[in-house]
Amino acid sequence: MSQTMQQLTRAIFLSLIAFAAPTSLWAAAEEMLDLELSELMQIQFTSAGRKTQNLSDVAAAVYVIDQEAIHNSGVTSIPEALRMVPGLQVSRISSNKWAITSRGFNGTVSNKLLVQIDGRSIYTPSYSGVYWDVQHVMLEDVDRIEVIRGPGATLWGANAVNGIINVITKQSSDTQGGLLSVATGNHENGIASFRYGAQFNKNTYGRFYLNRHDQDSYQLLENQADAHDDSQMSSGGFRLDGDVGLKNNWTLQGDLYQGDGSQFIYPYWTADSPFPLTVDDQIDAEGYNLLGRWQHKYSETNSLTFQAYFDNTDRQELYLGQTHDTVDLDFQHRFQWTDQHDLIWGVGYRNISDEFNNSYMVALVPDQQTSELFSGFFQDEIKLIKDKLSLTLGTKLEHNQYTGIEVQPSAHLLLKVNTDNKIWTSVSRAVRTPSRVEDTGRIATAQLPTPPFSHVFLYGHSEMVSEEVIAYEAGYRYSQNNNFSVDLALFYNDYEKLLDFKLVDPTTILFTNDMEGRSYGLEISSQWRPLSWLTAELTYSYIELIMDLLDKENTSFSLSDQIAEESSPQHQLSLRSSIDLSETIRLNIWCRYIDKLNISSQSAYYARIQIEEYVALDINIIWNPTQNLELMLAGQNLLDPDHLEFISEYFVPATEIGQSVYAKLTWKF
Amino acid sequence: MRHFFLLIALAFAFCLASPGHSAGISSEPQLKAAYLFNFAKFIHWPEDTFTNAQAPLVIGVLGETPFTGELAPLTTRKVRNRAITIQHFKTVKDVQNCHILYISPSISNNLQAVLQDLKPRPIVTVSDSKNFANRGGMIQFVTRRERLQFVVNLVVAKANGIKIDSQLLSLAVEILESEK
Repeated sequence: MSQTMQQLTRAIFLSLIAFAAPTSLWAAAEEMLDLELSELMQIQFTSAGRKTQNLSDVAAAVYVIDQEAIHNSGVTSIPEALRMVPGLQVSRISSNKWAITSRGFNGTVSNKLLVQIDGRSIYTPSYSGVYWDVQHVMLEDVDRIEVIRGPGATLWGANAVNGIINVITKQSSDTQGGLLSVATGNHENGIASFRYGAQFNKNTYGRFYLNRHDQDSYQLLENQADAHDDSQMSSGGFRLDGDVGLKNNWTLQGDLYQGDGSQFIYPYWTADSPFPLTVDDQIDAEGYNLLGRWQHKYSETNSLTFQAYFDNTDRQELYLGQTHDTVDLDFQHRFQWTDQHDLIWGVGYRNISDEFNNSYMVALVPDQQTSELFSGFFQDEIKLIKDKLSLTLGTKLEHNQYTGIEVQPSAHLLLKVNTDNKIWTSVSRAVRTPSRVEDTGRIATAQLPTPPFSHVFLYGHSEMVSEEVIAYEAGYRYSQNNNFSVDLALFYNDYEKLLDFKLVDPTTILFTNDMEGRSYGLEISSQWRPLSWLTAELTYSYIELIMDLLDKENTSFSLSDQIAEESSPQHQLSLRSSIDLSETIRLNIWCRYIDKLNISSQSAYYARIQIEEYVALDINIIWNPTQNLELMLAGQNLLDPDHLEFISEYFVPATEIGQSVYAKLTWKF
Repeated sequence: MRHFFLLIALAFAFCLASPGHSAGISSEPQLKAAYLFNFAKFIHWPEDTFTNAQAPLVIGVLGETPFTGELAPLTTRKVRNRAITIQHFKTVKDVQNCHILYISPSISNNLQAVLQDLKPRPIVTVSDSKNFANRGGMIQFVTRRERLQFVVNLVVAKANGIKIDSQLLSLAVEILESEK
């Protein structure tokens, strides 16, 4: 082609584009030319979905709740959002109490699940669980919640026996500008959230947020009276993200919260009362944390990360006051060795100082203690056949003051049959180390029915060892052009030295490690997007637990085996669908079936209360009259006026979970 | 509770004090086109690179173009009274009169040779290629936090009599000022 011909065709081509291209493209391009250079540098552009791609290459049962799912679901808290995850059991005990676990062993003390927010553990070590009522992350600023069912101990450490939840908030560069949202309803007395993000200079972004969440009470099962389980929580915080050149980035973030919640305590024993009392108590909780992270990237595959945080929590309840100060230091190095090995190793140190305000009912002796945790881990992802087969071997070594050194190795194998089909399998060992209560606690649990009507106490002691699991898992993933995907996970867990209780004399119960058992099950999730305006997700999980008490003389006393077997819903089903009714109106429907629990806890057993199976229906409608304004009308638990979800093992009367209807307004500026 | 309201008041004060930003999601080629236009605005070439006072400022694309019409609106603009023209070049030998040259990813295989060819010429080379600036390119696009930013190799610019405004330089992620 001659030069002139080329020029001519180009001219024709360009004019065609100018005419054919929607005027908006031209207009947008024109508009962009008028922007200042500093403004251009702030514009985000869409890059292909990196994260999702990486996750489908993980040889573990992973599920991700992204921001869109949180938004569409109409949930108002992290625990509610977790109901989306197959394999998790999320039960609301009362308005401000939750029992959340992965693959069995649920309870207020749900000790086999590790939970982190932006790399900071929110697992309370003395109580072996998470106080969900104080975890008020601003949901609009959550980037995603990654949930791994099964042991994650190799990377995350002890207590990640049956799962890990990582709540990951957005970088502050992704939360620029202002957001104000207010909601109110019959159960949600009021939620107000405010966030503002700005760029300080070309290298530094920041945001801060304020959040207030007031929730109303539900009603008691026994007499339909007010359950006194309302709560008011205020929180605020900031996050700064910066870059130093091309190779270094850092994050500094902190949160502060303060709030209170009501609770009935029943039964409540005191030294001089002849019978148990019902007490209307108030939980006073406050805390703050500060976290810093520095990452140096030598290249895409070679980086150093250093993270440090300080976390303070304070919680005062009638039966126990507890303060924890945690300092955590973490170092990780990731690098490639030859083309075949992707290595990652790290060391960590954690120092926890606790202080308790003991009562007759619950006491930890001594009431002050400092414990240290040293850890190191190593993991090698070996590419056996490039882009086809990879083997990941790793182990964590941890030293804690209760049980000394714990070794938690794992092996994962991933086979990419082709781009659409992937198969994985793994075997891993993980432990749950004893808690402060199991080591040094004293809890009043009962009263002798005959004179002298002495109280029966449960005692911790230093002979307690770690609970152990060897987990065998396998999974299959299929995805087709992001329109249809299936994720299946199978597991078989072999447990040893599980927590049990033994009556050694009429008024003394001791913690023991005398239970063993196994569990198996499957979880499946499937996403389908048949049309551009319609998405649907179906998840199903099945679990079976079989437990044995080793101390045969104890079988008439201990209920641990029955509770473990009967406190997990055998079948759980969830169907979520989003329908775009028009360009500005979206309808979201979420329906869940949760199987019955014959014995949710010891308290439920003695009170002879079973948790019936239930179907919950949540519907919401979102309307965007303008780009920056959004209205949501949401209803939760629409099918029945109230239902039981779980009876706590400790001191909480059975509470019925009611319906919630609320309206929410969100304004971005 | 009183503290909470105080915090809210402070928050609003902070918002009013700092400038608002529109951070929409845009396409990468559109952004790059806007960047090229800004480079033209903030970079000064030796006078002899223009044949006369009316001669246009030439923005070239070397190799397969990643743009689909995004560069066209530039031709409606003027920089220091000069029109902007867009030209496409297949190989480096076709590059005649040119002020800004965007080097397409399709060239990456023989980038070293191309840069060697262009090194002594007063042409602002721009590319996304890894280590482009370190290898003798003048402006390298980099992505940080899903935003398009750039690195400047001032050594090559100075050697060819190209002056870059401090306003532009102050926004660079990195400036290479010594020979590596």
